[in-house]
Amino acid sequence: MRDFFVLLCAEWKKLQKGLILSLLLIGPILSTLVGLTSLSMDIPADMPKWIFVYQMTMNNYAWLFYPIMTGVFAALICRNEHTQGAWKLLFTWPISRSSVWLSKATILMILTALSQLLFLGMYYLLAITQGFAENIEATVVWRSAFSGWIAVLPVVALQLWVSHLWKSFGVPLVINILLSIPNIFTAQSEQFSPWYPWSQPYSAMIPEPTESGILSIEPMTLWVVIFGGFLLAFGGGWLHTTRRDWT
Amino acid sequence: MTKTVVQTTQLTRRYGKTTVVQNVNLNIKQGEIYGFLGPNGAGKTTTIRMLLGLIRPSEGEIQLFGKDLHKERKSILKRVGSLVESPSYYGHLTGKENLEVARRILGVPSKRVDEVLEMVRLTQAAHKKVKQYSLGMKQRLGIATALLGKPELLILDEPTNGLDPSGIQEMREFIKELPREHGMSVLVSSHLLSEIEQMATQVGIIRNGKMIFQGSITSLQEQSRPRMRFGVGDANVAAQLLASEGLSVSVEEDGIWTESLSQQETAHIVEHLVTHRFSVYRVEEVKQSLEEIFLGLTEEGETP
Ligand SMILES: Nc1ncnc2c1ncn2[C@@H]1O[C@H](COP(=O)(O)OP(=O)(O)O)[C@@H](O)[C@H]1O
Ligand SMILES: [Mg+2]
Repeated sequence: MRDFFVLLCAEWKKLQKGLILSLLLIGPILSTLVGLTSLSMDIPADMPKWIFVYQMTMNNYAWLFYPIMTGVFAALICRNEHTQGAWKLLFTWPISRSSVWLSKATILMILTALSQLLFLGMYYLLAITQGFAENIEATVVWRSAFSGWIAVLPVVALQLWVSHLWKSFGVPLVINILLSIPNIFTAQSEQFSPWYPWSQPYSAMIPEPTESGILSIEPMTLWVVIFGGFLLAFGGGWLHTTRRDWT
Repeated sequence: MTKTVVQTTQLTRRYGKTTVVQNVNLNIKQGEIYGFLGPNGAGKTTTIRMLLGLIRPSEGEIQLFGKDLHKERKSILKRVGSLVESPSYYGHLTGKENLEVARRILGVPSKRVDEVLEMVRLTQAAHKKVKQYSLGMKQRLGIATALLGKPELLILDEPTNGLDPSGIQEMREFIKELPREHGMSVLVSSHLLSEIEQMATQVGIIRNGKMIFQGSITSLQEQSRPRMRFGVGDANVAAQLLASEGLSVSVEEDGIWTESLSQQETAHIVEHLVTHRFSVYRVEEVKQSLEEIFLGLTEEGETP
């Protein structure tokens, strides 16, 4: 346990904060601009304005920026180790190999959570400046953001594993972008989208005005695809990191 | 009795079908500077990686401080500092920040950071980003990181690689002081005999993954059997005569050479030559230099 917390602090110290922050802001800012332009569209009569704008803001963020940035961060937090040969530094210190994997996974989860918070923050900022903030049902948008975070966890684990595997910065990134692109098609497809990990953040973040618990995810999808997928990728990455040769 | 710090038993590592390290029995005693010597590709780095638990042996055992590395990895690594191949660092952090990250992980007091910076003379550059460091400075930072936890065993893999002559000299002096001033044992690898010769007390020579010599520098010198040179007139004919007697001889420009001989054998040859009316004007024993011994050992039967 001590190893884990000490490593977590070390990982935090190693983060290139300026770079990370600017990357974190890109998605939410661009998405909010889309949300802003949507204000001049015809809003469907049966839809409250705040939901419509949220939906428009969330659209591009959830299927495009969010999963891709997850991959970028995964590659970034392994980049130092790859380029400066610092894996061997990490693994010759008297710490367990598992805690190395766990601390990196935790940092990535924190970053994806931060991304959700910034996204919500930008949406609220838009709402305040456009004067519809008081109409927002907080539970709906917070549930959407939280569900999106849970839904991205399999991608987190898989991308982290891929980033451990490849020395190059580009490979995990390209893999991630290629896997994000089918989202355009699967998000519309009823049969495929519940099973495709990269489309989970989008499905999970669709705002649901009904009282549907803390998560707006189908139980089947939640347990099989998200939970199962996360366990597989997290366990696989962990086993691989702790067993393999580090040179 | 001096304690054994490193002991490997039949240590073997294969990559696919090629055996890169084969049945190596490394033995390093406390307070020694052990020079691990071998040409490039001999298996030094692979052995060192196994000692540090970075890669797993295919066969054999590793004991550090008398404990099994596989079973007590963490408590063993607490007592070991290392620098494997090129130094590892975080380029976007300063030298001091790099050490600070390591310090927290190792759990040593923060004043130790300044101590090791002082030891490797990086105090001036402590607040510069490491990516702006010269190679020599990065190497010294690597050493500082290795020293941070006050290790009992320091493992340095080719620490002078890429340094300029004065940097090499400095590194050598630095390493030589460690056992005396800090009671450390040191394992230092190199592909250059001259370097090991100047700092090591013990040597292990590895070639094609096999340990071909292990012992003190003086016993390495004794390894070489001196050769005999006979200065003889009409050397070619004289050599034929000796060869017909069943002696293995070779003719070189400066005379006839044989393997080392006992006193009787020498006397016998001289007598033989003289009775056959060859003029013998010089008989001498020629010792090989360490360099020649090393080359002899490492080139002998180049095909494994
Ligand atoms: N990961 C690897 N896969 C396959 N062969 C390797 C690997 N690492 C090293 N080798 C081979 O093992 C041999 C020994 O390498 P190494 O231990 O680095 O030698 P040294 O450090 O003595 O120069 C070399 O022939 C090298 O090509
Ligand atoms: Mg090497």
